Amino acid sequence: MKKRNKKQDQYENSSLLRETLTRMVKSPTSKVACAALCVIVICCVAAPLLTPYKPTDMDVTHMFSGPSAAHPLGTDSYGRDMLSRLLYGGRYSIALGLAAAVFGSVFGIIFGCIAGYFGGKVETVIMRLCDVWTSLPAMLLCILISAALGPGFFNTILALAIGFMPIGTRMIRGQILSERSKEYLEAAESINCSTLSIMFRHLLPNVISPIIVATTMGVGLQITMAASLSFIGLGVQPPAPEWGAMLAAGRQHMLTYPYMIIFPGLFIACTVLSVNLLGDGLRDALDPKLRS
Amino acid sequence: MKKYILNRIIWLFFTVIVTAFMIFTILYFIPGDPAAAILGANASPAEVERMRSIMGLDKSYLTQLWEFLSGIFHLQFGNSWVYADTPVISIIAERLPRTLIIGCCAMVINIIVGVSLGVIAGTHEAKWQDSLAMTIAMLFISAPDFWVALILIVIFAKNLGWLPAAGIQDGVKSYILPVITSSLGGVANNSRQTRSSILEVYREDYITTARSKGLPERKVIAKHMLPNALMPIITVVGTGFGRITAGSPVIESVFGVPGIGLYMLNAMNQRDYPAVRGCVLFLAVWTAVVMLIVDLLYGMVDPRVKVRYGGGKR
Amino acid sequence: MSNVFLSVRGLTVIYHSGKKIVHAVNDVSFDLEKGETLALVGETGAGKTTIAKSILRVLPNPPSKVEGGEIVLSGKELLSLPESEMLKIRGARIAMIFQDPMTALNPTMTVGNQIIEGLLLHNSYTRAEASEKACKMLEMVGIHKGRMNEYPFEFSGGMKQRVVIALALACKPSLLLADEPTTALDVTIQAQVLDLINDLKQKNETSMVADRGKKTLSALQFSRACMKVFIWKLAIGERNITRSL
Repeated sequence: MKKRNKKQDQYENSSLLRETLTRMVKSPTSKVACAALCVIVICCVAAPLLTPYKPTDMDVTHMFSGPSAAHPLGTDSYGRDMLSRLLYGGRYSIALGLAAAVFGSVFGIIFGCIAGYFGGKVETVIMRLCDVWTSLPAMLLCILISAALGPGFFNTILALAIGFMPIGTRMIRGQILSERSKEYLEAAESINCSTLSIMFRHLLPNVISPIIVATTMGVGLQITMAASLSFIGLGVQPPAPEWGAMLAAGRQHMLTYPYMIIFPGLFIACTVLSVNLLGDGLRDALDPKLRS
Repeated sequence: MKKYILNRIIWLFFTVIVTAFMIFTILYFIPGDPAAAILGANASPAEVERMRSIMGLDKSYLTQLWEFLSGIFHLQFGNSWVYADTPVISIIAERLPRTLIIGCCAMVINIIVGVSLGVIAGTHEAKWQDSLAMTIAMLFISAPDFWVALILIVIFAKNLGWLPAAGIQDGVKSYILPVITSSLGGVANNSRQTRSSILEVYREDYITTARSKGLPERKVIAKHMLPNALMPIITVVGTGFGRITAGSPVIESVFGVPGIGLYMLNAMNQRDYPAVRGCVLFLAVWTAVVMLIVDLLYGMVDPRVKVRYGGGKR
Repeated sequence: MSNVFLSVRGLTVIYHSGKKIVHAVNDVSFDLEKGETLALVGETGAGKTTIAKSILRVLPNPPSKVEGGEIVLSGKELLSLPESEMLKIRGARIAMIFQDPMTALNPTMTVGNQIIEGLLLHNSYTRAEASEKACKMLEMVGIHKGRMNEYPFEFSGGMKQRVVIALALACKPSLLLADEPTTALDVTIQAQVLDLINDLKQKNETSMVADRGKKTLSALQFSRACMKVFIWKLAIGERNITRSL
């Protein structure tokens, strides 16, 4: 009986995946967004292949030069090539966004599952804490935690994830609440499935879709937040070429050399736009009302 | 209804206390000595010790916590550690109006522009109006607000010279760019939520009933669709209100607006903990009050809520 | 022939479902004389609601479209009228009672206001006068006028349907379209509502097109009130049988 269930699960999950992919391929915006995102990610990962300069290579003879053949996007105040800094910086920014969103979701899943499944006092305590947590604007929260933890790549991820956590918790607990009363859970309980087993093999697959969508949308949000933190001096520190940090550096010279702020921001905007469009497409593709 | 309000006020107190506890504890455990940080690297150990006892840092955790909590209810957040003898509360009071002006103006724009875009998109589903409105909303949400701020400064302050680049000394003109920048994210959220609420309501039977009475479409939208679509919209507007009026430290930093957000940011960097605590608490209370008002608005909009909490017959 | 009040000729309505086109109504024709009642009997999905909504022109426009035919009401061709003209006809000359009373009323508006809204649209009453008339309408359908300021969720299904009927008849329409008005109700309430409709019909001399469901017993019960019964099947293989009772 258990073996068959597992196989059935696998079959259902793989057909869900296939179905989702098919529907996403049909939507033109999703295709464009996905393609754009792939291009951006590939460029950032393959940065060494695309540009001869390293992000820290200074060339004081060519400071503040605008876009030219040698430096397609110009150079900054230390003569460093903007394009290579942007491409290498993309690794930081995108990785920050992705990691923060994923960790935030994972924390949210853990707490949401605990709250939703056990109910009662446990749930009340967790949800009240979430409410208090969300009563502060997310930006402020991230600033506080980031300042408390100190700058740095991993500290920033942690700060952002903790800020994102209550939203995830609330959403997942809501999903679990609506699933909890369904019969298949009673059936699983009646055959003595362990609690963990119930949570992971039965409950989670059914609430996974909104989590995936929210995490994807969260990536876009976290990329922006990470850039904001670096912009105000927390987050990732120079000389790391994170996009937000580049904007902060360019700010001092923006009135004379506007290209220094145009390009980093443009990169952020395009990446976040692609991620958001992808998230939208994913949500429409996973929407049960539109399925079958 | 009174019982409901009382309930929510008790919840407000609870939130304040828990937030106070949390912020105090987080700050307490931050590595480093605030006294040393404030006095600078050249201070002698004796001076640092004296500073610590002025700040009350030599007392135990619980004592400090108790002093802090009891001070809250007298609206005393202590004196700023950086600007000695200046109560934090007076600095907050001085800086608050600027943040509020930006926040409230941005909210007005959010509601008017956001809801209109959403209604246009929702009532023309899958047509060009829908795509256009949602593309605009999507662009607003994707571009980082501080980047847009910088671009606007370059265009309007440098190239065109119409508006000031920073500061608030130019009266109304100095607030224009901050307000526009602050409203971007809200417009996007509001229009998306409005659109999705309207779409849900659009196909309802009572809309057909309204049309079959001979009501022109504008009135159908205004008197039948919007009131029913309003609840989720109010939620989004309400939370957005809390967020925006709390002041974005980043926007205030870019435009040099001396508001609450910037105050908190600077205080954090300078290790001026009473100021940080004061700002955080103030914001927590503010947000909770806004949510309370949102809940009351629910009651006004949805008669089912009104009856349930008013103790009417069910 | 000059007695013909409503004439439907060759009505064809399609629905776009994704890329497919479904013929909801295929070349339907019937006549209705003044004071007559016509029952459209057919299975679910046969297109009865679609016909009624086409007459009133409240079909949801993106998925559905009237492909052809004409509908003439007392000499006026309805399908080609400009919307501004149609606004005057809806509610005032033609009114509709819907199938599901639970969802037919705006949950955030009092029942009184919903009736008053219709009255103010087509008449030049003051608000007070309209309020008076709305009270009378409610009493006519058996609802105490003290309930004017209550909300739909405070009424039971049967009472909601009565409100819908009051709403429809408020402006004294000459044509009443009733879309399975009793299907969503309890059997015991069904009889009450049917009697009410009959009663009102006799008092008001309104012609009526009534769609009935497939339950034979209730159909017979209902057709006692109807003078013409029009039975037909779905698009493929239409059968027009007009029987006079």
